[in-house]
Order: sequence, then C-alpha cells, then structure tokens
Amino acid sequence: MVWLPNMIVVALLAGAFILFRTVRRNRFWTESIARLWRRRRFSLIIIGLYLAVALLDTISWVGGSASENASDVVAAHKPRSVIDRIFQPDSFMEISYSEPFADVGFYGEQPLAHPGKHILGTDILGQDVFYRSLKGVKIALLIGGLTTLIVIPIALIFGLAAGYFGGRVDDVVFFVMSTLASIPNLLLLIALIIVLGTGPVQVCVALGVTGWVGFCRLTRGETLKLREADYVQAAKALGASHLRIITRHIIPNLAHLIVITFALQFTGLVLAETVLAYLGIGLDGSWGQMIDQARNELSRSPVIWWNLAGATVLLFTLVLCVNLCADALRDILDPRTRKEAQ
Amino acid sequence: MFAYIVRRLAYGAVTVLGVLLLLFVLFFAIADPDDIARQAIGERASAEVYEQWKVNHGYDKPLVINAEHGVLEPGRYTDTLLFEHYRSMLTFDFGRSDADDVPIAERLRQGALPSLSLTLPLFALSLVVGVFFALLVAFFRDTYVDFAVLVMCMLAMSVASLIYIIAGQYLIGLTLKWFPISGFDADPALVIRFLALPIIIGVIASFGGDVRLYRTVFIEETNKDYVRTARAKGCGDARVMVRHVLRNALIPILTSVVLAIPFLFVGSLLFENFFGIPGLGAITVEAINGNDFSTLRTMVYISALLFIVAQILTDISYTLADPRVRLS
Amino acid sequence: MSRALVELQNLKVTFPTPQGRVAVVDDVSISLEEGKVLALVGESGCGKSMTALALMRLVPKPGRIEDGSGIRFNDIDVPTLSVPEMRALRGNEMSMIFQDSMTSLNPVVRVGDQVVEAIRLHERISYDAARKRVLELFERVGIPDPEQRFSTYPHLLSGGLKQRVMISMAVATRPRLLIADEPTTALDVTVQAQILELLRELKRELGTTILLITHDLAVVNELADHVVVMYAGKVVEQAERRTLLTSARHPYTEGLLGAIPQRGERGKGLNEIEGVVPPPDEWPAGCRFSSRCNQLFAPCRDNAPPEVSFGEGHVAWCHALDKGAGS
Ligand SMILES: Nc1ncnc2c1ncn2[C@@H]1O[C@H](COP(=O)(O)OP(=O)(O)OP(=O)(O)O)[C@@H](O)[C@H]1O
Ligand SMILES: [Mg+2]
Repeated sequence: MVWLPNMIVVALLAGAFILFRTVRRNRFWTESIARLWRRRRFSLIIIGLYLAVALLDTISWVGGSASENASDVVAAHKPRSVIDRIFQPDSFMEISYSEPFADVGFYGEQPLAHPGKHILGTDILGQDVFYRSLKGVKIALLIGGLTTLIVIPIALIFGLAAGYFGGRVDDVVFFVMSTLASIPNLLLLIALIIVLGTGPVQVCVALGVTGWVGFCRLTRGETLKLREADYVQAAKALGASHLRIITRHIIPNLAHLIVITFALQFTGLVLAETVLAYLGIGLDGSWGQMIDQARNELSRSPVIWWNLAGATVLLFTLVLCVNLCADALRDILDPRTRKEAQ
Repeated sequence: MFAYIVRRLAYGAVTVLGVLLLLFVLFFAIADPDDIARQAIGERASAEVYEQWKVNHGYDKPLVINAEHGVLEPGRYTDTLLFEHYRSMLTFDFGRSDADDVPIAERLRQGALPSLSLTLPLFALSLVVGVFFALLVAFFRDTYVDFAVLVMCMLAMSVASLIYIIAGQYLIGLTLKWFPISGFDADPALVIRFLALPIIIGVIASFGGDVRLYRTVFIEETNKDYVRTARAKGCGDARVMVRHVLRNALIPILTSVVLAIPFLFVGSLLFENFFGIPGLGAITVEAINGNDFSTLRTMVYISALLFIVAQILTDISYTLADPRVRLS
Repeated sequence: MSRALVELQNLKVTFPTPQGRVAVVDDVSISLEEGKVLALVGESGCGKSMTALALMRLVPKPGRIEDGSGIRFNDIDVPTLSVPEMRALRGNEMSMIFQDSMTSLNPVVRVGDQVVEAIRLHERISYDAARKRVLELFERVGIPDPEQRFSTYPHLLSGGLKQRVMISMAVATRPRLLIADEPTTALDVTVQAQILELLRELKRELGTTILLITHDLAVVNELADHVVVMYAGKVVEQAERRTLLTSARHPYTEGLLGAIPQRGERGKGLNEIEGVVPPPDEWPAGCRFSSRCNQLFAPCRDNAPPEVSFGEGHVAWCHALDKGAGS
C-alpha cells in the first residue's frame, strides 16, 4: 500500500491544477480570490503551510535507514513520509518527559540524548511533541477534507434533485433529511462510529452522514429559488435539457454556497473530532487524542503543559485561519453584499 | 387549521418511524447480534452462554422474516427483531442494558434530573449572556467596541470545547480553587457548588458563536423600515434597540433556540462525564465505553422523539399565534 | 409673502461605492414656505427620499450629509444640533409618513401603542391620556372602531388602514412640518383618493406645512402649491403648480407630464422618456439627464447645465433652454 498515499497526492495536485485552470477563465472567481488574498493574506499563507506539511507527510516511500537498529525488519519495510525522514522519530527520542529546549530529563535530571533539540519537549514515552503535533496536521486535514469531499457531492445531488424536480423526489429527500435532523448530531455520530468501527474512513463517513443534511437543505432551498428565476425559465422555454439547465444555470449559482459551506464545515469537523477523541472514538494520532491524553498531565505538579500546548496551538491556528477566510469569503461571495456593491 | 395539525402530527409520526428504521439498520443489521454478545460477555464463553445471553436480551430472532413460520402466519413477520424493535420502542419498554442488565428505564429516570439541573441553567444563562452582548455590539456597530468583540468572538469560536473544559477546570478549579472540580450532590444547597464550574465554562464556550449569530440577527433587524419610523418619532438609539429591535429579533432567536430544548434532557456528553455529573450524558458515555448498544439506541431514540415532539409543538403554536406564518 | 420654514442650501448626500463616494443628492437648494405644500417630483431613484431624510438627519449609514450643506428648519441650523436636540425636533416639530406603510410599522407592537409612543416621547402625559388622544386621532383619520383597532397588530390591518395609522402617528404631536414620502404609492386607487382627501383636510385644519414626495403628477395637481422636479440627485426645474403643469420647460418635466395620458390636451404631444434612472455611480458628467434626453446637443454631455429663469420663481437648469433664451 505504499502507492496509495502517493497516488492521493498526485490526484490532489491534479485536481488543484484543473480547478486552477477552470477558475482562471472566470472573471468573477479570479476577482474574488484576489480580494480574498488582499484581505486574508496572512491566514492564507498559514493554511498553505499546513497543506504543505500534510503533503510532505503523505509523500512516502520504503527504504533508507528507519532507525539505528538496522535489524528491525518491520520498521525497515514500513513506508515513511518526508516528515518522518526529517525527524527520524525512532532515534529522535528520550526516555520520558522533558521540557521544551531542556538539556536534562524532567524527572530525575538525567542528561538527554538530544539536549536542547526538542522545541516542544517530549511526552511520557519520550516522543518529540513537535513531531507528533505536526503529524496531526494530516489527520486534521483528512477529517475536514475527506468528509467534505463526501458531503458535498451527496448533498448537491440530493439537494438539486429535490429542489429542481420537486414532487415525489422532494418528499423522499425531505423525509430523509428531517429524520436525520431529528437526532442530535453528536449522538448520531457516536452511534455510527460505534457501529461502523473506528478508523479514518469510518469516522469520515460517519461525519459525512451527519454533516450533509445542513448543506442539502441549503442547496434544496436555493435551487427552488433558482428554478423560478427568469433566466432559468427562459432557458427552459428555449428547450434546454434538464441536465444543461442544472449544470449551466443552477450549479454555477450555487458555487459560492459550496465554497462557504466547505470552509465552515471544515472547522466544525476538526473541532468535533476532539470530542470524539475524548470519548475514545477519535482517530489515532489526532490533535484531539493528544489533548485528551494530555489533560491529566495538567494536574501533575509541576505542571506538564507542552503536550497540551502543541496540539492546542496548531488546532487553534488552523481553525482560526479557516474561520477568518470563511468570514471574508462570505462577505465577498454573498449575493446580497455583491448587489449592494454594484 | 385542524387539517394542518393532523397532517403535522402524521408527519411527525412518520419521522419517528423513520428514526426507528435507521436505528434498526445501525444496531441490528450492521452491528451483528453475535458481536454484541461477544463484546458483552467476553470472547471465551461457550456457544450456549452466547445463545442464552441473546435470548435474555432479545437478540435471538431473525432480522426481518422468521422462516420458522409459514407464509400466511403473522408470526413470520412479528416474531422478528424488526417487529420487536418497533414494539419495544413505541411502547417505551426499553428492556435491560446490554452491559450490566440494569433496566434502562430506571437509568433514564435517575439521570434526567442531574442532566436538567446542569443543562437548563446553562442554556438559560448562555442565551441571556449571548443576547445581552449581541445587543451591546449591535448598538455599537461599526465602532471599535464592535470590532473588538467580533475579534474576540472569532478567537473564542476557534477554540475546541474540550480545551475550554480542560483549561477552565485547571484555572478556576485547581488554581483558584473557587469551586470543587467535579462531583454531584442531590442536595439542592450543595449542588450549586458542583454545577457552578461546568456552567461557567459552558457559557464561555458557547459565547463566541452565539454572540456572532445573534449580532447578525440584530443588525438585520436594525436595517428594517420600522426602525427608521421609530427614529423619526424621536426615539433615541438605546430606546430603539431595546423597545423595537430587541422585541423583533427575539422571535427568530427564540425560534432557533426552542428547538435545542429537547436536547437539554439528554444532557451534555462532554460536561457531565468530565465533571462527574451522573446525568443521561454521562450514562451515554458509559454506554459508549462499555459497548452497551441497547442503552445507546434508547438514548438516540428518546432524544429524537423529544425533538420531533418539540418541533410539532412549536410549529403548531406558531401557526396559532401568528397569522403571517399560516399564510406562508 | 410668508417666511420660509424649511431652507435647504446646497444639500449634498453621499454614499460610498467601489469608485469612491457618489452624491445621490447633489447641490439641492429648496425653500418651503410656512403653511404651503411643496411637491418633490421625480422618478424612482432620483434622491427624493434622501433629501427628506437629510432634513430629519435620518440618512441611513453608510450615507452621510456632506459638510457645507445648509439645512435650516424654523431658523434653526439643523446640522449643528446635538443629538438630544435633534431627537426633540423629530416627531415633534417635524414628522414623516413613510413610503412603505407595510413595513414601516413595528410588527410586534400594538398599533395604538406605537402612536402612544410618538406622543409620550415629546409630552409628559400619562399613558391613559395619551391613549385617549390616540383614539380621537384614529377617529379623526377615519379608522373605524378605534377601540378595537388600538390593540391589533399591523399585519392584521389593510394597507389603507396602516397608512392611516402612520398618518395619525405623524400628526399626533401637531408638527409644523409634515413630510409625506409617497403616501399613496403602495395603495390601490380608491384608497389613494381617500388618503389624499385626508391629507388635504389635515392641512386645512392644522395649517401644517407639507413636503410631499411623489412621482405622480395627478397627486401634485390635487395638493401642491409649489413643485420641485428632481432628476438624478439634482433639481432640474421648479415652479408654481399651475405654471409647472401647464408650461413646463425642461425636457425631463415634459417627459414626466407626457407620461400621464390624461394630460394629452396640452397639445404638445406625448413624449415619454425611455429607460430608467441609472444607478448613482453611472450618472453622466455634464447634464445628468443627457443619457436620456431627446433634445441633446453639444455641451450637454460635458458641462453642467445653466440656470434659466422664466420669472415668478419658475427656474430650469438646461442647455437647450439657455440656447433658446439666448437666440
Ligand atoms: N443604502 C444605500 N447605499 C447606496 N446607495 C443608496 C442607498 N440608499 C439609497 N441609495 C441610492 O440613493 C439614490 C436615491 O435614493 P432615494 O431613495 O432617495 O430615491 P427616491 O427618489 O426616493 O426613489 P423612490 O421613488 O424609489 O423612493 C438611489 O439611486 C439609490 O441608489
Ligand atoms: Mg423614496
């Protein structure tokens, strides 16, 4: 399975390129992106850094020395990512806790193997906290990104079908939505994960099932409105096919909603994972799990705070930047403010 | 009017059946009864023990069709897990916990009060605090006060609730020692001390999102024509806000908030578990950790049922109260 | 000649746009004599409402009254008033009936209480006394069954009744100036006539000065003493009612007059104006009407039109008229 993560990287880069090509031809989107860049330069750069870390953590191959202990056959045949190769986690570790930049261990004061090199100290197993926090980036983006990739097509298809065709289709979609919406999100999520099992794909599917309803309702409502719009009626009168009307006239007018929802949903998902981690059904190696493990360390005396701080700060920064961008995007793309600006 | 109420009730009933169907698919079709039994009593019991356990907990029937009965016998369809599931849920006969055989109804009765004693004040206080600050911010809109509070909200929204709990317990409970850090007491005089910490933390955790949301409602309201009329009459800004804008904005705010009320009964998973409050939320977390499927699905069912009922009630009372809604 | 109650001097109201601030009311100077009715006429989007709102200092954000605008009301310099002084003026000395009575009443406050508030903001009287006054007012403005109407909510009233409530709210404090912003636009024809009749009676009884905003010249004919025609934020012509209706000079006014068919007897033929008022940031340099004018010639596009006077207060701003007068 060495090839899978690398294929994902290739697919993502290809997708990004195609997106770039399509967007570049559209003046509205290029202008919106330029405005977003002017207003949220800093956040965008930080998000870019996170993306870069996640990519570096996905590109991986077998080979090179996994640890000084060359006889460790299993470790030698495990693919390791660029980040792993930079940090060499198997050798870059201590016996147990050590403070950030410390020269000696936290308990016992014995000298460290790598004095002054652990920017965020080490955890109870002696692992570098900074390395573990960086590993969390990929998982966070996976939770947010993969789930949203599941949610948006489903919600779009059902929302469009319900809103555009109405009648029976609408009744069925509406019923499914109201059924799912009547169960508290967290409980439904837990039930799904308990039944499906924990694992990245299962968790993302569970998050997707609970998350699509809101967006679907939005799509349905918006489509209902657009269906009655003059230009759609005109296209219909000219004999355009349903498919053409939907792809040419309706989806482009939903695009701004998709973008805003993506951004808002993303932060909600990343934050929700911490709760799942607390309940013991989160993803291995996620920030939520780090926070959950670190929470008892606060009551130690003297306090061990760096474990908590690493994950918290990275999580907070990512969510804040995405929130800021979502906010700006809403301003830029909102048709109401757009009209006022005209 | 009457027809509308009947239709609304019927739709609510259908939604309940839909929820039950979903639960059936999740907890019986996807989760295998054999797995459930194994998780409940361990891997190394004999086959008879598993069978006995399944009989005791009602997992021993075929899923949808019982082939032991003939095609025309009703038993073919009623002597099944599906039928049994619907029957027990609809008659509130929840049976026993998969994990420790305690009757689930008993659990629910014990947990409801602690849950409500946490969530109700938390809910009310969050609402009041959120509306108050949003009103203040809307009053000072487009000034530095507004900007500062918005920045604060944005920062506050980006912090995970788990962090609020951990940090709050550490700062207020451990360092300042104002309140006990966790626990519960049935005595109303003592319970306040135990509930204070989770309530304070809960209000802070929901502050950012609430204020931003309510502010939008207020600002939208201040752009309406009747506000201009009020100002043309000679109302001052403060009076316009409190007498005119607040009253109108409370309608959408309350409508959205009313639907959160049924979930108060189910308590808060995070807070109850963290602060040792023996409510329904804590019971649910226990059920998660103990793979107690019967308790879990009952909790899901109960909360969905409460939500559907609340929704019907609000819908009906709105149509009764406000003719504008009835028209649309 | 009686003195001026309202005097606007070079009033300028601007709104920000991506291209910078544009003036939606530009250099407007109007004077309104005590006890008279002045009609402000023009198509939708000409800045009529903004002019009136500026007078009450109610221009909505992000709009603003530019420095150097002179607003005098009853010899008070309005822009320099403090906020409480302004508040004491609003609803008391000057009050306004708004364009859209459907949305201009607070939907969750009983209509009676909304009028009571208007009174009690300016007079220290008890609720019951105010309530009695409101019931009398309702009776006076022709609201049937005032006791019962007092405690209903706006959405239960018809458009005409709502407008009557608005009117009673505006006249409750016997203001010296009543601004009526298209008081009849949202109503159907028979109700329109009743409301106009009511305004005429109120004017006679109370001697109120009225600033009447409308785009309906029939309403002007019914009520006005003096008419000011606005186009795209500028005054283009002003005159006594009779003069304006019979011998309007500006092409825009002629177009407006042409737009109402029953004035066909004027013998000038119908010359309806094509199109609509463009949005403020697309207003032409030079004469603002140049993009739609049918008597266009060289200087119109680039130079501001000159003031041309025809005597007895009849003034128009137009290049075509200037040439005509000069030759
Ligand atoms: N909030 C705003 N932001 C930007 N421009 C505005 C705003 N409000 C009004 N305007 C502009 O000011 C101009 C004048 O508006 P105003 O309401 O005074 O027109 P009006 O003559 O009263 O028209 P109507 O007959 O429709 O009431 C309009 O062209 C409008 O585009
Ligand atoms: Mg207007």
